[in-house]
Amino acid sequence: MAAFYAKSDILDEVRRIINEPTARVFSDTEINAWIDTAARRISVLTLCNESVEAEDSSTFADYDAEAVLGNKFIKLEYVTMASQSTDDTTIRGLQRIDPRAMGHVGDATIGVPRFYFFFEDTIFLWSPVDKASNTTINLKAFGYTMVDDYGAGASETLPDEVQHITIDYVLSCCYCKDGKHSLAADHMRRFMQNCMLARRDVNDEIIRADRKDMAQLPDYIVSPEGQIMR
Amino acid sequence: MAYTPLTDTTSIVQVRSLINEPTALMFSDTDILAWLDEATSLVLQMTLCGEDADNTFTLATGVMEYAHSSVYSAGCIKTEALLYQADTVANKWSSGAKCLIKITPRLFRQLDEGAAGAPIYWTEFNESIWIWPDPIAGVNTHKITCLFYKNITDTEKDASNTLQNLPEYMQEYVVWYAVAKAFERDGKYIQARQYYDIFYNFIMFSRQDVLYKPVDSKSMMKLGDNTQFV
Repeated sequence: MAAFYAKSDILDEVRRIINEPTARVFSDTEINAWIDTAARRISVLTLCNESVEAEDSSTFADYDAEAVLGNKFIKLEYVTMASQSTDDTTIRGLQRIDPRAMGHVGDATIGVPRFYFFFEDTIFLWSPVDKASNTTINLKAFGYTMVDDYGAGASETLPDEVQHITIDYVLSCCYCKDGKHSLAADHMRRFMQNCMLARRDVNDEIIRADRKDMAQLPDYIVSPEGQIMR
Repeated sequence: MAYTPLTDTTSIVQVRSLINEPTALMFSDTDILAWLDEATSLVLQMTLCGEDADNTFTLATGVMEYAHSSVYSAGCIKTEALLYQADTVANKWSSGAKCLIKITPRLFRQLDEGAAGAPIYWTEFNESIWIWPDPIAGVNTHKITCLFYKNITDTEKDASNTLQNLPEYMQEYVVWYAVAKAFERDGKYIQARQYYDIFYNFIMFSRQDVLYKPVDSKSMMKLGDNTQFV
């Protein structure tokens, strides 16, 4: 990731605002620790850190319906399954179901699963896997994870557009330590507002794929109020 | 640098950094730990982030009621779903496996499937799980996997690193709760309230991601024909 705001830039900006150019009340170690914490909070609240995890056929046995993921996903967005490990021509998106639908939808015959749900770092699949007929299976989980820290120079973990939000969190910590609690609360409020605004569109009720008519020239457009726009 | 889960020691350091008391003066480590443990339980209760899918119990012939103490190794706040495994451990997800349907006790013997047999329904009351219909001899070795939301037990509360019962992405919130408690103990009630607000705002922000478990509708598995204004 490009150094839009390197960790040192965040440190400099914080020191500029608290008017402490060199460490006196606040050590660099302390401020850097708060920067790392802020990066983790931002990734959790905005869901800006996308991750993909692949599970290959060694994970599955016959009749298996569970795939325990190594990553600690906050939320899963999509799951795909391919019956071949390297050739993705067999890849298929799985449909997410409620746990209560397991065993009640689709075909109970073992095969290549078509449905899934996610619980405690585990993807539960339906129907169960037929390993004998599908010796190479590749499952991919697309979701959001927490970053480990802010990242060293040129390896920042957050996208450029949310890096600046770190500053408000760190300032809040500084003012808390300094006994300026109204300022601390103010900056934390601003931090959360920024996270809310920067939050990725992860509401699954919103259809995010384009509709077929968007690829065509419309004859006319109807406004939301029902008026034909000519 | 990979994220290291918070421990008692590192979380106390974070709290002391924010309240500007590097070594114990007004607040002992015991005080701070008590607040962190309290916050851990609060976060588990308010967000239901402690998902657990590792508890399994075996059906017994003619037994409808299974006490939580015999089913759950961890404290259970709420059971989400029960997955019935229709065969031996080797083929536990074979044909016949399904999720049981939750009912209320008033529906016992009111539903068509009243004869003893493979379980179809379940309910929960007074820290017991009730299975309906009665398991018959043919299913008495079959198992039920429980998907539930856990709380910390008394033993875990007294043990070290209690906050590691939280998912990694939720652990750092407890620090703000302990900060609020410290200021309340110090007689700074307005400041304490501000930090309680920070803690609860973080929890509510993350709660939606944890609790909202969407499903994919049939229409989401294909490209829509037309754009619609909602």
